[in-house]
Amino acid sequence: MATREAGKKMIMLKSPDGMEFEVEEAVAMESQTIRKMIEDDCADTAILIPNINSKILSRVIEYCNKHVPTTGATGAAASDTVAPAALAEDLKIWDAEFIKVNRATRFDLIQAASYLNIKGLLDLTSQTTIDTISDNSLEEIRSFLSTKNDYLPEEEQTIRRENQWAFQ
Amino acid sequence: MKTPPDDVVRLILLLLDDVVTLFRCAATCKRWRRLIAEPSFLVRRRWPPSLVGFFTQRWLLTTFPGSSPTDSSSQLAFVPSSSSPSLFGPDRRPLTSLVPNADFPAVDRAVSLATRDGLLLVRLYPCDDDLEPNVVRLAVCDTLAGRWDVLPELDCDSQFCYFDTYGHTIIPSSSGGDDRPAFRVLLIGADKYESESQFNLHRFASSDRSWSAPRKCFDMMERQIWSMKEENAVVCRGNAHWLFVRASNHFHVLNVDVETGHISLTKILTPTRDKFIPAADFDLLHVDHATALANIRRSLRDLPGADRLAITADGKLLSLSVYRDRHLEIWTQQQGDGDRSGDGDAEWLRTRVIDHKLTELIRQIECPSCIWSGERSGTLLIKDYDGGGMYTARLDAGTLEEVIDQIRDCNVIVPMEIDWPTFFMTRLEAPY
Repeated sequence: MATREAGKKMIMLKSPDGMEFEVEEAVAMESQTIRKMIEDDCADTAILIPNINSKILSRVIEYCNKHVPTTGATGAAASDTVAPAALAEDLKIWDAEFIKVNRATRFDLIQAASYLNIKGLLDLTSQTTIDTISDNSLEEIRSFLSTKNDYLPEEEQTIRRENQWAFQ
Repeated sequence: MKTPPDDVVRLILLLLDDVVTLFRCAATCKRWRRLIAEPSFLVRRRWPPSLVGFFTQRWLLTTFPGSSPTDSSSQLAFVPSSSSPSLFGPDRRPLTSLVPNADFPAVDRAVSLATRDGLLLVRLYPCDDDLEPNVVRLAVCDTLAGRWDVLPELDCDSQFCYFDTYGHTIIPSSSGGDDRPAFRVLLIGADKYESESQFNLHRFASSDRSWSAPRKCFDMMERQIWSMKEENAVVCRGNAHWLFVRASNHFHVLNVDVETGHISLTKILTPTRDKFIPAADFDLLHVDHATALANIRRSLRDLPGADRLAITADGKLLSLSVYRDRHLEIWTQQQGDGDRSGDGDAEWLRTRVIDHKLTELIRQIECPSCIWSGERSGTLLIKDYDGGGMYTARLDAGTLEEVIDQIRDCNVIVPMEIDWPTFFMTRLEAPY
């Protein structure tokens, strides 16, 4: 068993491009997918994370490190000195910085958050996209997602005519 | 920049709560349309059929004749339900705003009868001068496409008069491709032309643009049938079903094949023959495969003591639910694929008991009466005749919720249900 510091169990995460990341078990268990593997005893000393390259995986670990609930001695100390509201505020600012990435990275993070089942990260990464889609015209949505309109003009006309409820 | 891969698009689409936004996404490009219309995607959204709102108005027979213009509370409007995604925005919408091409002032004199899959069947009441009780004028509003179609007048006798109960339903059919909505309308009622107790069926198909010659259903006197339980038919698997109460606690279900107009009458026997079963508590309901449903039609106040019953219909199966000792139960008639017109003397199995907590909640209502039950959504609409409040009870979730004030004072309430996966699949199907 790999251990570091006082009794903290460590887990090795491997990306498909061969990079290895040693993280605390508690951090890795922010991912419900990994938690399930560990609880089911499917996790050996190293877990291969398919489909997520090292660049994205390192960002995900960075997120989990920040968001892992503080426990034991350090947790008690933290809550003595910092109010929970301030902690939450701090986390919010950190999240806002974290998500300042280009769209391609954001989509990769959405995919990783979904595969690893990290709800907070999925919400964070998809919110901007959802807001953009919800608040904009079809043309703006298409440009935001680099999607080309391949409907014939009369096809688009028909969809709009048959579905005025959605285009008012 | 590259467009995101299908998996990411699906994830984003799964997280969209708003149905309007989701639908608009399907209009951005064909790939998105395809991803949204995929049955597996729609199943993943885990959208149970829901009660999206009410076509509602306050209407009295004296409201229309001679009085013009009508005030806003008598005008038909859509009021969204608070607990469901909304199709027409968060606010009350007068019918005139949903069907902008409707003829005025006819649309101001429309009373809602039935709705299914976005089509709304209304009866048009004429102005005072040309009041002809023997003529039935109907119109169909395609509320999703914003279209309005007035049907040719139906000349039948006074049993279809404004006071009388008659059965009606609207069933959408696949689109003919032109600019009119495609549907069939069925009306049943006693035609005085023949005999006062003879029930006839009138059918209208939008493709033919005409009413069929009336067909005989049955003679009420001959069959000792007392009354119709519910004006709105339950429709499933191409058949419309109406429930009739017969003397001595027997029940008949009138089945009409929507396509062919074939009529059959099924006798229903109750599962608890040893007990007296009040006739008032039977009702018809369509049982969705995924969600077992129940229905209570009349007051639950008189409990306990008597069984409370409701009939449900699932194509060939007929289900019956019993309210007994604070349980809402669903009983299913174990009927084979054989002759539907024969006596329904078959075994019954109790297939589900509805959440005890919900029945407790309903019992706390002062004077509850179930005024409507969802064909698909497993929702009951319950009115409190003492306090005046109105509630929706969701059988699956086991919740009871007070309905917004806007429909409290309305006496015509036609709830609108949407089965979301079917809704999206049919509205996004080829050829787009």
